[in-house]
Amino acid sequence: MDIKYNTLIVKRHGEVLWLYLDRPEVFNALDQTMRLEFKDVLTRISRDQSTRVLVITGSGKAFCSGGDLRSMGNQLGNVTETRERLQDLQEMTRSIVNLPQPVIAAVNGPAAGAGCNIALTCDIVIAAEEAVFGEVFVKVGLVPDAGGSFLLPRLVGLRKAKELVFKGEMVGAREAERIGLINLAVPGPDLHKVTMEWANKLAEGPALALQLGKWLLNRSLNNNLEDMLEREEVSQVLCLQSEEHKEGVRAFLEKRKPVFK
Amino acid sequence: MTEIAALYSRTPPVGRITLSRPNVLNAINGQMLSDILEAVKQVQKDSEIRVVVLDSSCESAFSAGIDVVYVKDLSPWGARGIGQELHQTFGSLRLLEKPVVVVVDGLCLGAGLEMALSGDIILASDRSEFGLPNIKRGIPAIVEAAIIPQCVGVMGAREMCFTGNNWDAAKAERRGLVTKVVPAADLEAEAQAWVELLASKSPWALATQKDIINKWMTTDLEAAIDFSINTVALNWTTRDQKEGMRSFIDKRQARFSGE
Repeated sequence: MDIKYNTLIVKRHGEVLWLYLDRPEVFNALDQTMRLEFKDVLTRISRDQSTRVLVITGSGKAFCSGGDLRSMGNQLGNVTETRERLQDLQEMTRSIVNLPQPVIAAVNGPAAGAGCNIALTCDIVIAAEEAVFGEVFVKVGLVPDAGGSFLLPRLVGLRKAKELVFKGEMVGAREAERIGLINLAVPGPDLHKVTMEWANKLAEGPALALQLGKWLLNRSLNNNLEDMLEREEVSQVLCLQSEEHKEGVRAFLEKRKPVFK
Repeated sequence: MTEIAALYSRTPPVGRITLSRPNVLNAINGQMLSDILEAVKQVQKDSEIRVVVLDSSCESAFSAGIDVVYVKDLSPWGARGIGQELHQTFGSLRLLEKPVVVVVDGLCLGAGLEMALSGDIILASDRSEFGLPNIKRGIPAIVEAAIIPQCVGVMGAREMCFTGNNWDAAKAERRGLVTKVVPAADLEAEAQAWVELLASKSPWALATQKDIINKWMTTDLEAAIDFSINTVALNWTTRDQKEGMRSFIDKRQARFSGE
């Protein structure tokens, strides 16, 4: 992962890769370059077997303030250009969902609009106490994007989702944890340490089982029980045939910690 | 492997993707899939390209299917990956918001047929053959073969998949697998006529129509109708809609600018 980006910073900590959204002067607002670079780096990571966990976080005070308003409103081009920008944004969501590796959002500060939904799309969301989450779209005459309309009712229920979207107000990290929007809120100074603990634990886990587990759970939101039973069957047979499973059973019987390669 | 396996050439309004592994009957490998995917990405963003032509540089085949050498020694996990790779490329053709005209002269088998069916119009020479010989290689037909029942009905699909036998061009046309069959000598002219016809239509209308047709194929009736009602609003933001309707009232040919 030697490539240099204009709007992103990539830092490797062993098998855990940290990806920083890096436009701190505009609170990491998304512009076209960042949208395209994000998809590019995630495509590379998806093919990189030496990366077992991805952590996404923000440079500076914010996680991500969403679409860059200075290039929206009257500055927006015609319908074709607008659609293209939206498609590039939606590709960011797809990249996270389709990434084989688990993705942890380490939300260091405000996550607003598309920035909020990108955090919520990640598999695990850990936030600093001072972080806030806002579906602020309505405040500028927009609807949720980046998958928010799908995720929110499933994370917090339809009732709360409508409240969040219609009011567009910021929700603090502790409240976000309480209502099920995120996994965990921690004191700001502990965010990095706690995230690394989670990441290292996942990096030591069975890569195939984690990848298929992620895929099953993501798919389950679109499916019924019968479809999921069938998907579990295929996935489990693959796992049962895997070296990871054999090592897991051996370790269990030998009363030691498994070493998953 | 860096040898280009599918060539993209651009002559507005046509973007031409030519399968280019003639020595192996255009057997599909990873390089070909990524070449096609790359060409599709370019076409999507190129406003001067209105129609894609997908054809072959091999005299006797469009494509004989997946490259068996490429896949035969894969692990089960690797095989799953190949399915995803095929679907990514074939899906990109099906979802590309410009019409894709597939020109078939010769063998169109297996993954080659799946690729062809991901296009919108299939023109074939009368000496072409179509089939899913996967079953003869000990595997089922997968990914975009899912489109086949929508073309030839479930009985036709069962026949193709379970026997692995080829259909000649006449049967393919009769059963609705392809759009039109012409004598081999007329194939190029036929393709040109289709290109001109499609390039004269409003690109915006074609794009939203293709999206809507994809929904007809994939969702239930009510959801597809609902989608079309919401999507058509986009057309009313375009100049093409205004030109299309004004030209009707003025009793003249419409001239679509694509905006």
